Amino acid sequence: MRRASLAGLLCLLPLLLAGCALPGKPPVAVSYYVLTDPGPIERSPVIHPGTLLLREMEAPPFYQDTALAFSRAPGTRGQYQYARWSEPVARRLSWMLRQRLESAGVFQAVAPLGSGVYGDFQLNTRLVDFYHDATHAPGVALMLLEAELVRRADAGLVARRIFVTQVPAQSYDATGAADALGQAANQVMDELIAWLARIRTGDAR
Amino acid sequence: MEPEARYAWVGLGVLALVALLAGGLYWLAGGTENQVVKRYTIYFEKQSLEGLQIGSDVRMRGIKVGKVEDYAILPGDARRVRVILQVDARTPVLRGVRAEVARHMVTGLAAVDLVNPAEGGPPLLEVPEAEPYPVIEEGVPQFARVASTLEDMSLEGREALVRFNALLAQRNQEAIAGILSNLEHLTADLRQHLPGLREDLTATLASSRRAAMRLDELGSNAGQMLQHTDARLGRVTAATESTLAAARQTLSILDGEVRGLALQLRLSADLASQEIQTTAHSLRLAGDALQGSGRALADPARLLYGANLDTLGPGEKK
Repeated sequence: MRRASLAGLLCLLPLLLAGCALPGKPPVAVSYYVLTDPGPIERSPVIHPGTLLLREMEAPPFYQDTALAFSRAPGTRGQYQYARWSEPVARRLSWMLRQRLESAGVFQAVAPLGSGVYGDFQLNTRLVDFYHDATHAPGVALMLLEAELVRRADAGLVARRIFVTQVPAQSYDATGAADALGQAANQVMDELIAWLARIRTGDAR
Repeated sequence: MEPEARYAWVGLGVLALVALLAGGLYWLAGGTENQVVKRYTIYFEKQSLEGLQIGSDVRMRGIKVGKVEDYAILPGDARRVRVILQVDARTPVLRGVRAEVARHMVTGLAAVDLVNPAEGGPPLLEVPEAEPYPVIEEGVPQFARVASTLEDMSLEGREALVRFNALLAQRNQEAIAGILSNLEHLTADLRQHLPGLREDLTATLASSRRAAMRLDELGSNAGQMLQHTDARLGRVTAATESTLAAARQTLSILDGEVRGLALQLRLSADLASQEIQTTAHSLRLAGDALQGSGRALADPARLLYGANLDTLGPGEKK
């Protein structure tokens, strides 16, 4: 009797598993967005002597995911479920920043930290916030970035600043948010490069 | 009438005689010479003016050219006598002229001799301040110079005599006598020991000759040794120099190596620091990713059924 019951259950198991494979409602497609650089950059009037090492941008765990972030209420953050960045936003912003610095020529040379290049200065950046403020439609893109320039010879802090920018979104959705966030990122980088050009670095010891 | 006329003639004769006498006296006083004179002052301090009188001759090269007009002992300084001379203006009294008192050996009368400098010179015209006439320097007469020399010689002779007396003092005489006695004994001994001394001297000479030959050999050997030593020292010096050069080169290389090592060390430390930073960053990211995966796995419903409606973003629909 017990053996017959066990055989019956084994026969029902494939049927149960087959139920999972039945065609249901088609899944929603996930959109991937790419943070892009707007184009040619003006050369900096000031060229600091020495090599600048760019450390990988730090970001809180929330922003290490590729999902676009939004906020419907102050003090809260959410993630778009079907909209993602093509790569973690901090890594992408680091690469864009390095391209900007090389193009602008603020320092004689720019290299990523850990690339085997001896550097005179080091730029540390920290992404504090990067989200679509959706409190009111269509919302604004908000970016908050902290940057500090360090002289490596004596580990001295040369300068530090926090950059904040807001760009209105064109539409109340992920597309509008991604576009506004991209513009906000480019504005912050413009300000950062102008700030670096104004800093009096002195001689690298 | 006649006696009165005679008196008049007598009066006239007396007046004529008086006039004649006055004229003669004037002639005797030299008034007719009509000479032009110059006056000079001399201050005598060293020479004796014995025999000098007012009117004494003033001579130059033995010729009378004037006379002593006045003299006086200075009230403030009794050693000095001021003498004023009257000299014929035609006499060349030159600058640097000296006045010497010359005295006649027999009569004792003195005269003033003016001695011009041998090289000549301009005439003496300057009148010093607070002086009425030009001042002639006092000279030293020849006789005084000879006397001074004789006096010096006398003093030196006396000193020599004193020294000679000291040399011949009793003690020195005894000492000389002792020396002579010793010399006598010495010559006697020498005479006595002369034969033996001669032999000894001969032997000594022979020994000296041998010693000299030996010394010559020694000198030769020493010269050879010195030559060898010099050659060896030269080799040692060369070796030392080469060693020092090598040491210097080694130190230079070592210095370069140390500099290179220090640079390498600095670069290595810098690169290690970079590696540590990147590794730490990667570890942080890995930890965060692991935490995110854990969070996702904690909600299997979301994995099976998709996102909740509450978590959809703006514009998203399920």
